[in-house]
Amino acid sequence: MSSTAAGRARRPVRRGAVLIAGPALALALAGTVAVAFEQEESVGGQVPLSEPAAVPSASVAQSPAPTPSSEPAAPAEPVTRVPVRDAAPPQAVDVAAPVRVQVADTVDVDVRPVGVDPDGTMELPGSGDVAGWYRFGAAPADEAGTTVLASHVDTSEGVGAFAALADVEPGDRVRVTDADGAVHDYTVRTVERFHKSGTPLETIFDRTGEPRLALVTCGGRWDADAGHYEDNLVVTAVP
Amino acid sequence: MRTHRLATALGATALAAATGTAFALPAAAADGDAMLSVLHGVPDTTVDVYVDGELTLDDFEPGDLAGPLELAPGTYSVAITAADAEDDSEPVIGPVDLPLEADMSYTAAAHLDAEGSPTATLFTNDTSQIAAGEGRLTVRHVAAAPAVDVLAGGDPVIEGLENPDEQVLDLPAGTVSAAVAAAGTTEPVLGPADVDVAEGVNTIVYAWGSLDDDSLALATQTVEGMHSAPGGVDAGTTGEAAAASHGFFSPAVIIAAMTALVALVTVVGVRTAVRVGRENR
Repeated sequence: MSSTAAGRARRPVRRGAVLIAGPALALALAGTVAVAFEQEESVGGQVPLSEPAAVPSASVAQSPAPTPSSEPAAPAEPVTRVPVRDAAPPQAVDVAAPVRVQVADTVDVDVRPVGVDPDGTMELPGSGDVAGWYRFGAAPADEAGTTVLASHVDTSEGVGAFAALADVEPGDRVRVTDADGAVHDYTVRTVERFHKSGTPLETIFDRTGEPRLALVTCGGRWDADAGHYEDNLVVTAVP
Repeated sequence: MRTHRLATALGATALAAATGTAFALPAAAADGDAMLSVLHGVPDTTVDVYVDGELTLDDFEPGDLAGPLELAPGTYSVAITAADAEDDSEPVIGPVDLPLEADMSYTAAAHLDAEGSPTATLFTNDTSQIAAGEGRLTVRHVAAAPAVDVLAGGDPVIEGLENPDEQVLDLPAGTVSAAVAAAGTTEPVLGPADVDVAEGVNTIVYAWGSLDDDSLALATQTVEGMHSAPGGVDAGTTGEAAAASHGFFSPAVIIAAMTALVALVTVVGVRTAVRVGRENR
Protein backbone atom coordinates (compact mmCIF):
# COMPACT_ATOMS: atom_id res chain seq x y z
CA MET A 1 0.00 0.00 0.00
CA SER A 2 2.63 2.43 1.11
CA SER A 3 5.01 1.36 -1.67
CA THR A 4 2.29 1.81 -4.33
CA ALA A 5 1.45 5.24 -3.02
CA ALA A 6 5.08 6.17 -3.02
CA GLY A 7 5.50 4.86 -6.58
CA ARG A 8 2.47 6.84 -7.77
CA ALA A 9 3.69 9.93 -6.00
CA ARG A 10 7.17 9.60 -7.48
CA ARG A 11 6.00 9.49 -11.11
CA PRO A 12 4.75 13.09 -11.49
CA VAL A 13 7.89 14.24 -9.71
CA ARG A 14 10.01 12.44 -12.31
CA ARG A 15 7.99 13.94 -15.16
CA GLY A 16 8.26 17.29 -13.48
CA ALA A 17 12.00 16.88 -13.38
CA VAL A 18 12.00 16.34 -17.12
CA LEU A 19 9.95 19.51 -17.54
CA ILE A 20 12.55 21.44 -15.60
CA ALA A 21 15.56 19.65 -17.05
CA GLY A 22 14.48 20.29 -20.64
CA PRO A 23 14.67 24.08 -20.52
CA ALA A 24 17.74 23.90 -18.29
CA LEU A 25 19.49 21.78 -20.90
CA ALA A 26 18.41 24.20 -23.58
CA LEU A 27 19.80 27.11 -21.59
CA ALA A 28 23.08 25.28 -21.05
CA LEU A 29 23.34 24.55 -24.78
CA ALA A 30 22.46 28.13 -25.58
CA GLY A 31 25.21 29.21 -23.18
CA THR A 32 27.71 27.00 -24.99
CA VAL A 33 26.63 28.44 -28.31
CA ALA A 34 26.91 31.94 -26.86
CA VAL A 35 30.51 31.22 -25.85
CA ALA A 36 31.22 30.00 -29.38
CA PHE A 37 29.44 33.11 -30.63
CA GLU A 38 31.74 35.37 -28.62
CA GLN A 39 34.86 33.51 -29.66
CA GLU A 40 33.98 33.56 -33.31
CA GLU A 41 32.53 37.05 -33.65
CA SER A 42 35.15 38.99 -31.79
CA VAL A 43 38.76 40.06 -31.88
CA GLY A 44 41.06 38.06 -29.66
CA GLY A 45 38.19 35.95 -28.34
CA GLN A 46 40.64 33.12 -27.61
CA VAL A 47 42.46 35.41 -25.18
CA PRO A 48 40.85 34.95 -21.77
CA LEU A 49 39.40 38.04 -20.10
CA SER A 50 41.75 39.26 -17.38
CA GLU A 51 41.04 41.01 -14.12
CA PRO A 52 43.12 44.13 -13.54
CA ALA A 53 45.78 43.81 -10.85
CA ALA A 54 46.19 46.17 -7.92
CA VAL A 55 47.45 49.58 -8.95
CA PRO A 56 50.25 51.41 -7.17
CA SER A 57 49.15 54.87 -6.20
CA ALA A 58 50.96 57.68 -7.95
CA SER A 59 53.21 59.64 -5.69
CA VAL A 60 54.24 63.23 -5.96
CA ALA A 61 57.92 63.83 -6.63
CA GLN A 62 59.72 67.10 -6.90
CA SER A 63 62.48 67.37 -9.47
CA PRO A 64 65.74 67.35 -7.56
CA ALA A 65 68.02 70.31 -8.07
CA PRO A 66 71.10 68.96 -9.84
CA THR A 67 73.92 71.12 -8.55
CA PRO A 68 75.18 71.02 -4.95
CA SER A 69 75.57 74.24 -3.02
CA SER A 70 78.89 75.98 -3.10
CA GLU A 71 81.54 75.43 -0.42
CA PRO A 72 80.75 77.21 2.87
CA ALA A 73 82.62 80.48 3.32
CA ALA A 74 80.72 81.97 6.27
CA PRO A 75 81.75 81.29 9.83
CA ALA A 76 78.90 78.86 10.43
CA GLU A 77 78.74 75.46 8.66
CA PRO A 78 75.47 74.13 7.21
CA VAL A 79 74.17 71.03 8.98
CA THR A 80 72.82 69.38 5.86
CA ARG A 81 73.75 69.69 2.22
CA VAL A 82 70.70 71.00 0.31
CA PRO A 83 70.69 70.92 -3.51
CA VAL A 84 70.55 74.41 -5.02
CA ARG A 85 70.06 75.35 -8.64
CA ASP A 86 69.60 78.45 -10.74
CA ALA A 87 65.83 78.89 -11.08
CA ALA A 88 66.01 80.35 -14.60
CA PRO A 89 63.37 78.76 -16.87
CA PRO A 90 64.58 75.33 -18.09
CA GLN A 91 64.26 74.12 -21.67
CA ALA A 92 61.99 71.27 -22.67
CA VAL A 93 63.92 68.01 -22.95
CA ASP A 94 63.73 66.17 -26.25
CA VAL A 95 63.37 62.41 -26.21
CA ALA A 96 63.83 60.04 -29.15
CA ALA A 97 60.31 59.13 -30.27
CA PRO A 98 59.64 55.61 -31.54
CA VAL A 99 59.09 55.62 -35.32
CA ARG A 100 58.53 51.94 -36.20
CA VAL A 101 57.25 48.81 -34.47
CA GLN A 102 57.58 45.22 -35.68
CA VAL A 103 55.79 42.35 -33.92
CA ALA A 104 56.86 38.80 -34.77
CA ASP A 105 56.31 38.42 -38.53
CA THR A 106 52.81 39.87 -38.52
CA VAL A 107 53.00 43.60 -37.71
CA ASP A 108 55.33 46.21 -39.20
CA VAL A 109 53.99 49.77 -39.00
CA ASP A 110 55.18 53.34 -38.64
CA VAL A 111 54.68 55.10 -35.32
CA ARG A 112 53.89 58.75 -34.68
CA PRO A 113 53.52 60.72 -31.42
CA VAL A 114 49.99 61.25 -30.10
CA GLY A 115 48.45 62.84 -27.04
CA VAL A 116 44.95 62.95 -25.56
CA ASP A 117 41.62 63.42 -27.33
CA PRO A 118 39.16 66.06 -26.06
CA ASP A 119 37.15 63.28 -24.33
CA GLY A 120 40.20 62.32 -22.28
CA THR A 121 40.96 59.07 -24.08
CA MET A 122 44.25 58.38 -25.83
CA GLU A 123 44.53 59.99 -29.24
CA LEU A 124 45.04 57.51 -32.10
CA PRO A 125 46.23 57.89 -35.69
CA GLY A 126 43.30 57.79 -38.12
CA SER A 127 44.90 54.99 -40.09
CA GLY A 128 45.05 51.41 -38.88
CA ASP A 129 48.41 51.11 -40.61
CA VAL A 130 50.05 53.60 -38.23
CA ALA A 131 50.50 53.21 -34.47
CA GLY A 132 50.36 56.10 -32.00
CA TRP A 133 52.99 56.56 -29.30
CA TYR A 134 51.66 58.16 -26.09
CA ARG A 135 54.14 61.03 -26.01
CA PHE A 136 53.43 62.00 -22.38
CA GLY A 137 54.57 58.58 -21.18
CA ALA A 138 57.91 56.82 -21.44
CA ALA A 139 60.00 56.56 -24.63
CA PRO A 140 61.91 53.35 -25.49
CA ALA A 141 65.26 54.81 -24.41
CA ASP A 142 63.93 55.93 -21.02
CA GLU A 143 65.25 54.14 -17.96
CA ALA A 144 61.81 53.77 -16.39
CA GLY A 145 58.17 53.39 -17.35
CA THR A 146 56.07 51.87 -20.07
CA THR A 147 56.26 52.91 -23.71
CA VAL A 148 52.64 52.75 -24.92
CA LEU A 149 51.85 52.15 -28.61
CA ALA A 150 48.22 51.86 -29.72
CA SER A 151 46.42 51.55 -33.03
CA HIS A 152 42.91 51.02 -34.36
CA VAL A 153 41.91 47.40 -34.87
CA ASP A 154 39.73 48.59 -37.76
CA THR A 155 38.95 51.84 -39.58
CA SER A 156 36.89 52.85 -42.60
CA GLU A 157 39.94 51.76 -44.62
CA GLY A 158 39.63 48.19 -43.35
CA VAL A 159 41.14 45.94 -40.71
CA GLY A 160 44.11 47.53 -38.93
CA ALA A 161 47.58 46.04 -38.52
CA PHE A 162 47.11 45.64 -34.76
CA ALA A 163 44.26 43.15 -35.34
CA ALA A 164 47.11 40.63 -35.62
CA LEU A 165 47.97 41.21 -31.93
CA ALA A 166 45.20 38.74 -31.09
CA ASP A 167 47.45 35.96 -32.40
CA VAL A 168 50.61 37.08 -30.58
CA GLU A 169 51.94 34.70 -27.92
CA PRO A 170 54.29 35.08 -24.95
CA GLY A 171 57.85 34.71 -26.16
CA ASP A 172 57.25 36.46 -29.49
CA ARG A 173 59.76 39.13 -30.42
CA VAL A 174 58.94 42.85 -30.74
CA ARG A 175 61.31 45.42 -32.22
CA VAL A 176 60.91 49.20 -31.83
CA THR A 177 63.09 51.65 -33.76
CA ASP A 178 63.34 55.22 -32.48
CA ALA A 179 64.04 58.55 -34.18
CA ASP A 180 67.76 58.28 -33.32
CA GLY A 181 67.90 55.00 -35.24
CA ALA A 182 68.32 53.02 -32.03
CA VAL A 183 66.74 49.55 -32.06
CA HIS A 184 64.96 48.30 -28.93
CA ASP A 185 64.14 44.58 -28.77
CA TYR A 186 61.46 43.19 -26.49
CA THR A 187 60.00 39.78 -25.68
CA VAL A 188 56.26 39.42 -25.23
CA ARG A 189 55.44 38.56 -21.63
CA THR A 190 51.64 38.70 -21.57
CA VAL A 191 48.70 38.91 -23.97
CA GLU A 192 45.62 40.01 -22.04
CA ARG A 193 42.05 40.99 -22.83
CA PHE A 194 40.21 43.35 -20.48
CA HIS A 195 36.64 44.56 -20.51
CA LYS A 196 37.09 48.30 -21.07
CA SER A 197 35.57 49.16 -17.69
CA GLY A 198 38.35 47.12 -16.08
CA THR A 199 41.30 47.93 -18.32
CA PRO A 200 44.15 48.73 -15.87
CA LEU A 201 45.01 52.10 -17.42
CA GLU A 202 47.16 53.22 -14.49
CA THR A 203 49.34 50.13 -14.93
CA ILE A 204 49.47 50.31 -18.73
CA PHE A 205 50.43 53.99 -18.65
CA ASP A 206 52.78 53.63 -15.65
CA ARG A 207 55.70 56.05 -15.95
CA THR A 208 57.74 54.39 -13.21
CA GLY A 209 59.30 50.97 -12.70
CA GLU A 210 61.16 48.76 -15.13
CA PRO A 211 61.13 49.78 -18.82
CA ARG A 212 58.30 47.98 -20.60
CA LEU A 213 56.41 48.13 -23.87
CA ALA A 214 52.61 47.97 -24.11
CA LEU A 215 50.82 47.42 -27.42
CA VAL A 216 47.14 48.29 -27.12
CA THR A 217 44.20 47.86 -29.45
CA CYS A 218 40.57 46.85 -29.19
CA GLY A 219 39.20 43.35 -28.83
CA GLY A 220 36.20 41.34 -27.86
CA ARG A 221 32.78 42.00 -29.34
CA TRP A 222 31.79 44.96 -31.45
CA ASP A 223 29.00 46.95 -29.77
CA ALA A 224 27.28 48.39 -32.83
CA ASP A 225 24.91 50.57 -30.74
CA ALA A 226 27.75 52.21 -28.81
CA GLY A 227 30.08 52.22 -31.81
CA HIS A 228 33.03 50.64 -30.02
CA TYR A 229 34.51 47.33 -28.99
CA GLU A 230 33.76 45.98 -25.55
CA ASP A 231 37.33 45.04 -24.67
CA ASN A 232 40.94 46.16 -24.90
CA LEU A 233 43.64 43.77 -26.07
CA VAL A 234 46.95 44.50 -24.34
CA VAL A 235 50.31 42.96 -25.24
CA THR A 236 53.04 43.63 -22.68
CA ALA A 237 56.68 43.06 -23.60
CA VAL A 238 59.94 43.49 -21.70
CA PRO A 239 63.48 44.21 -22.98
CA MET B 1 45.61 20.59 9.16
CA ARG B 2 43.70 23.54 10.52
CA THR B 3 46.92 25.13 11.75
CA HIS B 4 48.53 24.63 8.38
CA ARG B 5 45.60 26.21 6.59
CA LEU B 6 45.65 29.17 8.96
CA ALA B 7 49.39 29.57 8.42
CA THR B 8 48.86 29.60 4.67
CA ALA B 9 46.14 32.21 4.99
CA LEU B 10 48.32 34.36 7.19
CA GLY B 11 51.20 33.94 4.78
CA ALA B 12 49.06 35.09 1.89
CA THR B 13 47.84 38.08 3.88
CA ALA B 14 51.39 38.98 4.86
CA LEU B 15 52.50 38.69 1.26
CA ALA B 16 49.66 40.88 0.09
CA ALA B 17 50.45 43.41 2.79
CA ALA B 18 54.13 43.39 1.87
CA THR B 19 53.32 43.82 -1.81
CA GLY B 20 50.92 46.63 -0.98
CA THR B 21 53.57 48.36 1.07
CA ALA B 22 56.12 48.00 -1.71
CA PHE B 23 53.71 49.52 -4.18
CA ALA B 24 52.79 52.34 -1.81
CA LEU B 25 56.38 53.47 -1.30
CA PRO B 26 56.61 57.01 -2.63
CA ALA B 27 59.28 57.81 -5.17
CA ALA B 28 60.83 60.79 -3.50
CA ALA B 29 60.05 61.21 0.16
CA ALA B 30 59.44 59.26 3.29
CA ASP B 31 55.72 58.75 3.81
CA GLY B 32 54.18 61.70 5.58
CA ASP B 33 57.07 64.10 5.12
CA ALA B 34 56.46 67.65 3.94
CA MET B 35 58.50 68.92 1.00
CA LEU B 36 59.96 72.41 1.34
CA SER B 37 61.77 74.35 -1.38
CA VAL B 38 63.27 77.78 -0.83
CA LEU B 39 63.47 80.49 -3.46
CA HIS B 40 65.77 83.47 -3.14
CA GLY B 41 64.01 86.38 -4.82
CA VAL B 42 65.69 89.40 -3.21
CA PRO B 43 67.99 91.09 -5.75
CA ASP B 44 71.66 91.81 -5.09
CA THR B 45 71.84 90.11 -1.68
CA THR B 46 73.59 86.84 -0.92
CA VAL B 47 72.17 85.37 2.30
CA ASP B 48 72.32 82.47 4.74
CA VAL B 49 69.17 80.61 5.71
CA TYR B 50 68.69 79.18 9.19
CA VAL B 51 66.01 76.63 9.99
CA ASP B 52 65.27 76.23 13.71
CA GLY B 53 68.55 77.98 14.52
CA GLU B 54 70.70 75.75 12.30
CA LEU B 55 72.47 77.00 9.19
CA THR B 56 70.74 75.17 6.32
CA LEU B 57 71.61 77.20 3.22
CA ASP B 58 74.97 78.87 3.06
CA ASP B 59 75.72 81.73 0.65
CA PHE B 60 72.33 81.45 -1.01
CA GLU B 61 72.32 83.58 -4.17
CA PRO B 62 69.48 85.62 -5.74
CA GLY B 63 67.55 83.66 -8.38
CA ASP B 64 68.51 80.31 -6.87
CA LEU B 65 66.12 77.60 -5.77
CA ALA B 66 67.05 75.19 -2.98
CA GLY B 67 65.50 71.88 -2.12
CA PRO B 68 63.24 70.21 -1.80
CA LEU B 69 63.98 69.48 1.84
CA GLU B 70 62.08 66.50 3.23
CA LEU B 71 60.84 67.53 6.65
CA ALA B 72 58.69 65.84 9.26
CA PRO B 73 55.39 67.70 9.69
CA GLY B 74 55.57 70.54 12.18
CA THR B 75 56.26 74.23 12.51
CA TYR B 76 59.74 75.42 11.55
CA SER B 77 61.27 78.77 12.32
CA VAL B 78 63.18 80.24 9.39
CA ALA B 79 65.54 83.19 9.64
CA ILE B 80 67.45 84.76 6.76
CA THR B 81 70.67 86.57 7.57
CA ALA B 82 73.50 88.34 5.80
CA ALA B 83 75.89 85.85 4.23
CA ASP B 84 78.68 86.50 6.73
CA ALA B 85 76.54 86.26 9.87
CA GLU B 86 77.84 84.06 12.66
CA ASP B 87 74.36 82.92 13.71
CA ASP B 88 70.70 83.83 13.24
CA SER B 89 70.55 86.46 15.98
CA GLU B 90 70.33 89.38 13.52
CA PRO B 91 68.09 88.27 10.67
CA VAL B 92 67.36 90.49 7.67
CA ILE B 93 64.11 88.59 7.13
CA GLY B 94 62.18 86.82 9.86
CA PRO B 95 62.29 84.78 11.85
CA VAL B 96 59.02 83.47 10.37
CA ASP B 97 57.12 80.37 11.43
CA LEU B 98 56.37 77.87 8.64
CA PRO B 99 53.64 75.40 9.60
CA LEU B 100 54.22 72.35 7.37
CA GLU B 101 51.63 69.57 7.07
CA ALA B 102 52.23 65.95 6.12
CA ASP B 103 52.46 65.04 2.41
CA MET B 104 52.21 68.68 1.33
CA SER B 105 54.57 70.58 -0.94
CA TYR B 106 55.66 74.12 -0.05
CA THR B 107 57.91 76.85 -1.33
CA ALA B 108 59.19 79.54 1.01
CA ALA B 109 60.15 82.60 -1.00
CA ALA B 110 62.37 85.36 0.27
CA HIS B 111 61.40 88.34 -1.83
CA LEU B 112 60.53 92.02 -2.00
CA ASP B 113 57.03 93.26 -1.19
CA ALA B 114 55.25 95.59 -3.61
CA GLU B 115 57.01 98.60 -2.06
CA GLY B 116 60.47 97.01 -2.21
CA SER B 117 61.03 95.85 1.40
CA PRO B 118 62.43 92.32 2.00
CA THR B 119 59.86 89.81 3.23
CA ALA B 120 59.09 86.09 3.10
CA THR B 121 56.02 84.20 1.91
CA LEU B 122 55.14 80.54 2.33
CA PHE B 123 53.33 79.16 -0.72
CA THR B 124 51.54 75.81 -0.84
CA ASN B 125 52.19 74.07 -4.16
CA ASP B 126 49.11 72.51 -5.78
CA THR B 127 49.87 68.78 -6.07
CA SER B 128 46.35 67.62 -6.93
CA GLN B 129 45.98 65.28 -9.90
CA ILE B 130 46.19 66.85 -13.36
CA ALA B 131 44.05 65.61 -16.24
CA ALA B 132 45.82 63.55 -18.90
CA GLY B 133 47.35 65.79 -21.56
CA GLU B 134 47.43 68.87 -19.34
CA GLY B 135 50.06 70.69 -17.36
CA ARG B 136 49.65 73.11 -14.48
CA LEU B 137 50.96 76.67 -14.62
CA THR B 138 51.26 78.55 -11.34
CA VAL B 139 52.23 82.22 -11.49
CA ARG B 140 53.44 84.01 -8.34
CA HIS B 141 53.99 87.75 -8.07
CA VAL B 142 56.90 88.32 -5.67
CA ALA B 143 58.35 91.45 -7.28
CA ALA B 144 58.49 95.05 -6.14
CA ALA B 145 55.86 96.09 -8.67
CA PRO B 146 52.16 96.96 -8.78
CA ALA B 147 49.47 94.55 -9.99
CA VAL B 148 50.30 92.76 -13.25
CA ASP B 149 48.63 90.82 -16.02
CA VAL B 150 50.19 87.63 -17.36
CA LEU B 151 50.02 87.23 -21.14
CA ALA B 152 50.21 83.91 -22.95
CA GLY B 153 50.82 84.30 -26.66
CA GLY B 154 49.99 88.00 -26.27
CA ASP B 155 46.59 87.49 -24.63
CA PRO B 156 45.98 88.11 -20.93
CA VAL B 157 45.34 84.81 -19.12
CA ILE B 158 45.79 86.18 -15.61
CA GLU B 159 44.66 89.69 -14.74
CA GLY B 160 45.35 91.96 -11.80
CA LEU B 161 47.76 89.68 -9.92
CA GLU B 162 49.21 91.43 -6.88
CA ASN B 163 52.26 90.80 -4.71
CA PRO B 164 52.39 88.24 -3.00
CA ASP B 165 49.49 86.42 -4.67
CA GLU B 166 49.43 83.49 -7.05
CA GLN B 167 47.14 82.10 -9.71
CA VAL B 168 46.92 78.51 -10.92
CA LEU B 169 45.84 77.34 -14.39
CA ASP B 170 45.64 73.87 -15.90
CA LEU B 171 46.47 74.09 -19.62
CA PRO B 172 47.04 71.70 -22.50
CA ALA B 173 50.67 70.64 -22.13
CA GLY B 174 53.15 72.52 -24.30
CA THR B 175 55.37 75.55 -24.50
CA VAL B 176 53.72 78.83 -23.52
CA SER B 177 55.13 82.17 -24.61
CA ALA B 178 54.57 84.04 -21.35
CA ALA B 179 55.00 87.74 -20.62
CA VAL B 180 54.19 90.02 -17.70
CA ALA B 181 52.64 93.47 -18.23
CA ALA B 182 51.34 96.16 -15.90
CA ALA B 183 47.68 95.39 -15.14
CA GLY B 184 45.41 96.50 -17.94
CA THR B 185 48.20 96.79 -20.49
CA THR B 186 49.73 94.42 -23.04
CA GLU B 187 53.22 95.93 -23.27
CA PRO B 188 55.53 93.42 -21.52
CA VAL B 189 57.67 94.61 -18.64
CA LEU B 190 59.08 91.08 -18.43
CA GLY B 191 59.37 88.52 -21.23
CA PRO B 192 58.02 87.12 -23.40
CA ALA B 193 59.82 83.94 -22.38
CA ASP B 194 59.13 80.34 -23.45
CA VAL B 195 57.83 78.35 -20.50
CA ASP B 196 57.58 74.58 -20.89
CA VAL B 197 54.29 73.58 -19.24
CA ALA B 198 55.04 69.85 -19.10
CA GLU B 199 52.26 67.28 -18.88
CA GLY B 200 51.39 66.17 -15.36
CA VAL B 201 53.77 68.74 -13.86
CA ASN B 202 53.12 71.90 -11.85
CA THR B 203 55.40 74.52 -13.42
CA ILE B 204 55.66 77.43 -11.02
CA VAL B 205 56.82 80.76 -12.43
CA TYR B 206 57.90 83.60 -10.16
CA ALA B 207 58.11 87.20 -11.27
CA TRP B 208 60.73 88.64 -8.91
CA GLY B 209 63.05 91.62 -8.61
CA SER B 210 62.13 95.27 -8.77
CA LEU B 211 60.37 97.24 -11.47
CA ASP B 212 61.94 100.56 -10.39
CA ASP B 213 65.46 99.07 -10.35
CA ASP B 214 64.87 97.41 -13.71
CA SER B 215 65.71 94.04 -12.15
CA LEU B 216 62.54 92.07 -12.92
CA ALA B 217 63.26 88.43 -13.74
CA LEU B 218 61.53 85.06 -14.02
CA ALA B 219 62.34 82.09 -11.83
CA THR B 220 60.78 78.64 -12.26
CA GLN B 221 60.26 75.56 -10.19
CA THR B 222 58.65 72.26 -11.13
CA VAL B 223 56.74 69.80 -8.97
CA GLU B 224 56.23 66.48 -10.75
CA GLY B 225 54.20 63.31 -10.41
CA MET B 226 50.57 64.53 -10.64
CA HIS B 227 49.90 63.03 -14.07
CA SER B 228 46.87 60.87 -14.85
CA ALA B 229 46.45 58.03 -17.34
CA PRO B 230 44.18 58.67 -20.32
CA GLY B 231 40.54 57.72 -19.76
CA GLY B 232 40.72 54.81 -22.17
CA VAL B 233 41.93 53.52 -25.50
CA ASP B 234 39.12 53.36 -28.06
CA ALA B 235 40.92 51.56 -30.84
CA GLY B 236 38.21 50.39 -33.21
CA THR B 237 35.78 52.29 -35.39
CA THR B 238 33.76 49.94 -37.60
CA GLY B 239 33.56 46.42 -36.18
CA GLU B 240 35.10 45.05 -39.33
CA ALA B 241 37.91 43.26 -37.50
CA ALA B 242 35.33 41.30 -35.49
CA ALA B 243 33.31 40.56 -38.61
CA ALA B 244 36.47 39.49 -40.45
CA SER B 245 37.26 36.88 -37.84
CA HIS B 246 33.90 35.01 -38.27
CA GLY B 247 34.38 31.35 -38.94
CA PHE B 248 31.56 28.92 -39.62
CA PHE B 249 29.55 30.41 -36.75
CA SER B 250 28.32 33.60 -38.36
CA PRO B 251 25.64 35.43 -36.36
CA ALA B 252 22.93 34.23 -38.77
CA VAL B 253 23.91 30.58 -38.33
CA ILE B 254 24.01 30.92 -34.55
CA ILE B 255 20.62 32.65 -34.34
CA ALA B 256 19.07 29.99 -36.58
CA ALA B 257 20.60 27.20 -34.47
CA MET B 258 19.35 28.75 -31.23
CA THR B 259 15.84 29.27 -32.66
CA ALA B 260 15.71 25.63 -33.75
CA LEU B 261 16.91 24.49 -30.32
CA VAL B 262 14.33 26.54 -28.45
CA ALA B 263 11.57 25.26 -30.76
CA LEU B 264 12.65 21.65 -30.20
CA VAL B 265 12.76 22.04 -26.42
CA THR B 266 9.32 23.72 -26.41
CA VAL B 267 7.78 20.90 -28.43
CA VAL B 268 9.32 18.22 -26.19
CA GLY B 269 8.27 20.13 -23.08
CA VAL B 270 4.65 20.56 -24.23
CA ARG B 271 4.33 16.89 -25.24
CA THR B 272 5.71 15.79 -21.91
CA ALA B 273 3.35 18.08 -20.04
CA VAL B 274 0.37 16.77 -22.02
CA ARG B 275 1.35 13.14 -21.35
CA VAL B 276 1.85 13.79 -17.65
CA GLY B 277 -1.51 15.51 -17.54
CA ARG B 278 -3.24 12.52 -19.23
CA GLU B 279 -1.63 9.96 -16.90
CA ASN B 280 -2.58 11.94 -13.84
CA ARG B 281 -6.18 12.11 -14.91
